[in-house]
Amino acid sequence: MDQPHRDERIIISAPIGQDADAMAALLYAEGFQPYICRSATDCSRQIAAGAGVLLMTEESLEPPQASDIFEVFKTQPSWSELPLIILTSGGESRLATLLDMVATAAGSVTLLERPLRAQTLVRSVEVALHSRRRQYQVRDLIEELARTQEKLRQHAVNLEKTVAERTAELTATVQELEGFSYSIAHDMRAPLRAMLGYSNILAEEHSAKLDETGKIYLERISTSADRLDQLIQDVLNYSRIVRGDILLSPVNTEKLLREIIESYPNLHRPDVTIEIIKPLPRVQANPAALTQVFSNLLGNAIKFVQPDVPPRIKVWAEPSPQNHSMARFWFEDNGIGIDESSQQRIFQMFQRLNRAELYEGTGIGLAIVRKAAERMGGNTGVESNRGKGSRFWVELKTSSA
Amino acid sequence: MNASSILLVEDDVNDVFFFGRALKKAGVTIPLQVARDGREAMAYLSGTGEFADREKYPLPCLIVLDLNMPGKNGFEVLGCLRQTPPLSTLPVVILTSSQSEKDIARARELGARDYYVKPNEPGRLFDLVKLMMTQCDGKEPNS
Repeated sequence: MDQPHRDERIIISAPIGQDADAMAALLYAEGFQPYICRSATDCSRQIAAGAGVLLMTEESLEPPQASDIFEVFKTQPSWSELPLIILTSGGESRLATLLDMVATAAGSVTLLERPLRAQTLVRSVEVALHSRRRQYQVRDLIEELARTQEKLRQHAVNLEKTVAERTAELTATVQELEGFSYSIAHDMRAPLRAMLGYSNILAEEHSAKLDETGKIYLERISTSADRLDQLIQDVLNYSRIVRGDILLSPVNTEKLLREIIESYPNLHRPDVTIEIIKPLPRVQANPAALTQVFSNLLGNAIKFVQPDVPPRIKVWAEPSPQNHSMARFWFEDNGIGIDESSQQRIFQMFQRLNRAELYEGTGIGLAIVRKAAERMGGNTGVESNRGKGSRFWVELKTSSA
Repeated sequence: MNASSILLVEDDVNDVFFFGRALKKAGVTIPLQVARDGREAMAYLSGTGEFADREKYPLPCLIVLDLNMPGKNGFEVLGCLRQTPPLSTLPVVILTSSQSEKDIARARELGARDYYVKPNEPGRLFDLVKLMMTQCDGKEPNS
């Protein structure tokens, strides 16, 4: 028997066979599906299998059999409240006792007093079954909802899987491309080194054989090769910052700055003043990446000045205004400054604000600064006005070690 | 102790030229021998084949090693040298275009004495060669 069929069954629980048979015959004749249970056990089983209405005679309500049936009532699913019709012949007090008995288990109870008119029974069963059908609608909705939820969940799982797969593919492609460009950039340096080397030797040892124009051309070859080499080196540096392992360790920033200034001839030119206001905090950083950050900021500060203005740079640190476990390092210069409208652009790759003849550069330096700061868990920014110098800042996690 | 050499392991002809020139400019008289890749370097050092003639191919007092070479690369050469007792004491310096921290650390780990990045200007290479030669003077092989 299939479920829709069982849903409509009128389960009759009556120990006296004659009663049950009579009711069943009547209901059957009216188009219902009666089902007679002779024992409480059978009754419980049938209710569990599917029932539209339970019809019980008073006699079948005697404990202990009835308690089994009530147990089934209690374990109904949330949508279900099986209508119960009880046939009784007792008076007022009998009715009260019965109601007490079933109240804890069944929610929807109809009491029919004997002697019973056939029409009353049929009508009551009809009403009960009608209410039961409403419950089935709720059941179907709940099931539909559960199915929809399951489908949604499945979709979400699939979507996550697809996203993860696509991301992995993309990451692999990006890595491949990065590796490719790294190799290309790296391999380009060998022939370039040869060009630089030979033009250098030409200029040093064979310049007597060249006229002035020839010497200028040779100079231009060197300068162009130098610029290309700088570009390649910057691309490689950027690529290393993006791709490489950036392991953090405590870094003494005062010492690092001192070493940077000592190792870059441009930074200790006689016309350059770099004032470091101590103390500078120790930070959690990658020494190589931080060297790039500091040297690029210092390099920019002395590069972007009006001609004949001696560069003056001031470096100091303070706790970050947003986050007190971060330190903000300031690099203030007396350079040409940056329009407010250009201030975000300068941190992007290949963004240059000035003509190459005025200020040489590859447009990668500040992109390296920002990427390096980010990869060390920090950030970077600038405050500036055209003509009034710039103040670049870098925020990094302070180190207690 | 007459027979010694400097062994340059380098596949780039231009870099071989620049190195030879810098040696000459630095007044180094120890003859330069060149191996064009790692395999040839190992053949030279272990004296196999034509390299058996130690008069012609003396053991070097200094090995100048490039890292990025076809076939056997510089790291492999370092590894081989380390496992070959008579050769494991030869001073090796790296002269390469790689600036990668990983490469530097690995070369050190494998026993390279110094690590130099190939400079663009021949003048800088001249300075480096003079630095390298201190390794050669300090410890010559006892053959």
